[in-house]
Amino acid sequence: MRFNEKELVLLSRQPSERAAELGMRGPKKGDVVKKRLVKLVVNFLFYFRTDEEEPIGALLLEQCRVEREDSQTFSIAFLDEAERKYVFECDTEEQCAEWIDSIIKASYEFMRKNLIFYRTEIHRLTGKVRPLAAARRCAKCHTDGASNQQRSYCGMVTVRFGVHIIIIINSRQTGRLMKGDGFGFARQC
Amino acid sequence: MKLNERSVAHYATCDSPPDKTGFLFKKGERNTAYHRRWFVLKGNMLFYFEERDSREPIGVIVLEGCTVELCESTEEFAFAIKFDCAKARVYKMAAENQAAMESWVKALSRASFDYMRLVVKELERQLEEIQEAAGGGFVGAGVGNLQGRPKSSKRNHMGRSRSGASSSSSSSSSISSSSSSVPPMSASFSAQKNQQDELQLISGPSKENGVAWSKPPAALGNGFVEGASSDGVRAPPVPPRRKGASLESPVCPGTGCFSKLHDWYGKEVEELRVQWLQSQ
Repeated sequence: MRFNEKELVLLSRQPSERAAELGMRGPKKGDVVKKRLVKLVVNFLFYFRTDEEEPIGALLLEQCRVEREDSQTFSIAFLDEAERKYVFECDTEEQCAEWIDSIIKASYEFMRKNLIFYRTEIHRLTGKVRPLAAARRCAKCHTDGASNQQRSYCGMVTVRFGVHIIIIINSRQTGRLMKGDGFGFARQC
Repeated sequence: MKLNERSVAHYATCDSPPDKTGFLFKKGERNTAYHRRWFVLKGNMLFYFEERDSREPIGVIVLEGCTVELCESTEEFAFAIKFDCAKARVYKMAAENQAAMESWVKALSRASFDYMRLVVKELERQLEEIQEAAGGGFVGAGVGNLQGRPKSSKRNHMGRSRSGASSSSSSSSSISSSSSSVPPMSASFSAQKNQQDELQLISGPSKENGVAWSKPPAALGNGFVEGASSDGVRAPPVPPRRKGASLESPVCPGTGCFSKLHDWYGKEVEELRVQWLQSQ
């Protein structure tokens, strides 16, 4: 299965929720524990050889089960291959508990369930759904897009699709825009 | 770089609900022709299949950190997925019509984990505001369970929201509906105990039993709709107080005073909720 490896490597360099040197053992029989820099970024768990810039690998943390193996060890297994476990050895019990907690909360599906819960509760308590300020705000630069602004170097900044779409007006596009065509050439902020 | 590909492919086809699916044309990397593929968006992963009923995806685009742009293209309804890294591949796509294009651009722009986190945080904040306004000690504790307690075995895909949702619905029913023991008592004491937040739910001061409940529910400033439960059914009128009967709870002395009675019932509800949670 193809995947965009370069972008995934770029993601591994982003600020992480949690990172530490842990002992890591692969799921295959005969795999031994090796010291790895383990880094949790969004719903991916990256693992590096210490002091290397590019990760050896990544684990997508969806549809997985995290279990405590013993006081300082936890494991991750994926639901389609429940017997294959990735095992991680921590330095302390506390560190182990913190990793388990972080990984459970790291899945998109977990967040989606929270979202549904909050929405349902809010609706149940108030009988209405309040519009999200986040929906009015650009998902990228977080500026409030409730008002349309005109900028001198580019065209209208408007919130459409939940993000700023900056319409770049150039002579070629002006004609189309005046026809109320919509976008012509547009890019996100 | 290694990836747990088998499990990722499983995620594509498992029964978790996709955020969006549909046919799109995707421009090939070397072969510059557009190929029609079946796309499945789940979270921040965009999978593509050869056919709609293919069992395994051909590939996946990790969308975290991407930007979606409309692009100038000979192809109609085209847009591109771009990343902010050197020599990143630009994924050029085209939809079948304007509506599909707009819908996909919208969905893909919001597909990042960060955006989802933002939305969840805001909803959490909104819920807290509502609970504080309602003086809710009951409902608040139910939400706390979302943080999860470390247990020996946890499944990622189950989360904790289920126990959170159920527990708060059982406890907050004591606030809004007529089914529990608290409201009938509070109706008769509404004139006296206005400082009790829960009593704001009962409209107007009333010194007579049975009247408070029959007033139509009014939305209060804090957004809390009092009186009616969520299905719109109004509470039945409270039966008239027997002359000379003690209002003390037979089980707990000193509860002739309403606030004590209220506290006592509150504790009972709290205990019940704890018991229920522990049984989960």
